[in-house]
Amino acid sequence: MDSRKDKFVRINYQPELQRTEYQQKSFLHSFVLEIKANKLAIAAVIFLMVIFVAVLLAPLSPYDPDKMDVVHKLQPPGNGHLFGTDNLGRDYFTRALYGGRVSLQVGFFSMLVTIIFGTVWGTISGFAGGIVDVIMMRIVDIMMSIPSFLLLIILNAFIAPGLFTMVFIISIFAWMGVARIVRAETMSLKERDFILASRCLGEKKRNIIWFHIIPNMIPTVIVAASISIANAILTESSLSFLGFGVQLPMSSWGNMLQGAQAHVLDRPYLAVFPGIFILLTVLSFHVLGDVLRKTFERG
Amino acid sequence: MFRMIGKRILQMIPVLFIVSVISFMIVYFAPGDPANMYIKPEMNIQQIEEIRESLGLNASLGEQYLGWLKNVLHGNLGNSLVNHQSVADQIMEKLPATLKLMGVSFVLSLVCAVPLGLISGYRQESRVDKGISLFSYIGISIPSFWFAMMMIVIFTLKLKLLPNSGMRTVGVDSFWDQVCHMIMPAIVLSVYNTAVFTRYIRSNVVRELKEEYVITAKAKGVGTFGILTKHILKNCLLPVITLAGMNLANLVTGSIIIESIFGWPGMGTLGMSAITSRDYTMVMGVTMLTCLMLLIGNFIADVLYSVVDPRIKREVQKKNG
Repeated sequence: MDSRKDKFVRINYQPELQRTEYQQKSFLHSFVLEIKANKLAIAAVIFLMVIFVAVLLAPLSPYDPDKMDVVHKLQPPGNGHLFGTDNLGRDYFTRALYGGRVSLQVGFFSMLVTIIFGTVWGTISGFAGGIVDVIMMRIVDIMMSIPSFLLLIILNAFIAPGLFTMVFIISIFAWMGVARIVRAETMSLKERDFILASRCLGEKKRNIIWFHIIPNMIPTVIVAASISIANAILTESSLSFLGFGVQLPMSSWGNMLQGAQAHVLDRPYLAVFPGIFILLTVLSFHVLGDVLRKTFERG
Repeated sequence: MFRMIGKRILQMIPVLFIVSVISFMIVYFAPGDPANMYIKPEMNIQQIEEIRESLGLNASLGEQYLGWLKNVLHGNLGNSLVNHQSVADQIMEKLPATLKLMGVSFVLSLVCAVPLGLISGYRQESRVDKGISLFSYIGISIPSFWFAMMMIVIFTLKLKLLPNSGMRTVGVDSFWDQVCHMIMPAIVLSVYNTAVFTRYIRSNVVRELKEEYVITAKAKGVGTFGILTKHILKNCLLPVITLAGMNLANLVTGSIIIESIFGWPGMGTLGMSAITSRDYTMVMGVTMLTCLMLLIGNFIADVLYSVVDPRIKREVQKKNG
C-alpha cells in the first residue's frame, strides 16, 4: 500500500505564487524571453536593427546615390561596389540604402496614419454602439469591398505621387482592418467593471475613451501596427514596381526592381538584392508582430 | 434563408454606387483631357468644342456622372476611348482568362494548405512545423512581382522549361501547352493565399486538438489520420470559407500585378493598359466589374457559410426577427 501511495504524492503546486511571479515581470522582460526562445525572432530583430542602422548611416557611403557614371555601368558586385552598379553606373548598394529609407519611411508613416485613424474610428464606433456603430461599420464594410489596389493605381497614376501622397493614399485603404479589431476590443472592454466604475464616478465619455479604453488596447494596436508596416512596405513596393509609386530619380526598393527588369537576363543580381531586402524586412515585421502577440497573450 | 440572400444582394447596391462615385471623381479630377484622343492637328477651336460637347465633357461632374450612371443602368458601359469598341464586350472577352487563373490558383492554394496546415498543427513545435511556419512567413512576405521575376529567371531563362508569357503558344492548341502557361502565374498567385490558409488551419488544428471529441475519437480507436481528416478537418475548413471570401481582394490585387508580368490576357492587363493610356471609360468599367466580383465572392462565401453551418443561419434569422 505504501508504495502505491508514493505514486500519488501531492506535488507542491502553488498557482497563486506562480501568477504573482509572472506578473512581476515587466513586459519588456517577457518580450525578451519570448524572442530568445525563438530563433526566427532573434534573426528578425537583428536583421531589422542592421537595416535601420544601415539606412540611417546611408550618407556615410562614399558614393552619391544619384551620380551617374556611365563608364562603369552594370559592373558586377565587388571592386569597390558592394552590389555592383546599375544601368547608369550608380552604386547599387548606396541606392539600396537610400531606397530602404524611402520604403521604411513610407511603411512607418502609413502605419502611423493607419493606426491612428483606425483606432479612433474603431473606438468611437465600438463605444457609441447603436445606429452610429452600424453606420460606421457599414462604411468599413464598403471600404473593404472596394478593389483598393486598382484605385491605388488609378490615384497614383493621376496624381503625381510624392512621399506623403503615397503615405496618404496607402493609408486610405488600409485602416479598416485596424478599425475592426479595435472596435471588437472596445466592445469587450466597455463591459468591464472598471469602465462601469468610472462611469458611475461621472467620468466624461471622452476621458473614459482616452484614459481607460485606449491604454488597455495598446497591445492589440501594437500587434496591428507591426503587421500594417509590413503590408504598407509591400503595397509601396508593388506600386513602385508597376511605375505608379515613388518616382525616379528617388529610389525605393520597388522601383529599383522595376529598373532591374530590363537586365534580368544578364544581371540577375540587380533584381535579387532589392527583392531580398523587401522580403526580409516584411518577414521580420511579421515575425515581430507574432512574437508581440504571443507575449501579450501570455502576459 | 432567401430573406438573408435578398438582404445581402440589396446591400451590394450602395457599395457599388459609392465605388462608382469615388472612381468617377478620381477619373474626373485627373489631369489630361479625354478629348485629346479625338483631336487632329488641323481642327480649329470650334470643332474641338463640338467634340467636347458631343463627348459630354463640358457638363459638370454631377451631370457627367448621372449620364454615365444612366447608360450603365441600361447595360451600356460606353465605348473605349482608345479603340472605340464597346467596353462591356472587351471586358467579357477578357474575363474568362482572369477567372480561370484565379480559380486554378485558389484550388491550388487549398490543396497545398490543407495538408500543410494539418501536419504542422498536429506536430506542433516540431521541426516540420517550424519549416512549414517559415514557409508560410515567406509566403505572406514575398512581393509577388519579385517572386514572378525570379520564377521567370529560373524556369524560363535558365532552365528553359516553362513559357513566360501569354495563355498559349500561337498556333499550338493542346491542353498541355495551356497547362505549361498556367503553372507559373498560378503558383505565384497562390503563394500568399496558401500561406494565409496554412497558418489559419494550423491554429485551428491546435485549438481543436484540445477538444473533447478528439479524446472520444482516440478512445474509440480512430487513428491519427482518421482524426485529422474526418473530425478536425471538417471543423477547420468551415472558417476557411469565410477567410477565402475575405481574401478574394488579395486574389484580385495579385491577379492585376501577375497578369501584367506574365502577359496573361485578362482583366488585370486590360485595366493596366487602360490606366496608362488614360482610357477613362475602360478604367471605370474594369473598376466596377472588379468591385462586383469582390462583392459576389464575399456574398457566395457568406451564403455557403450559413448553408454549411446552420448555427449562423439561426442567428441571422433571430436578428431579422
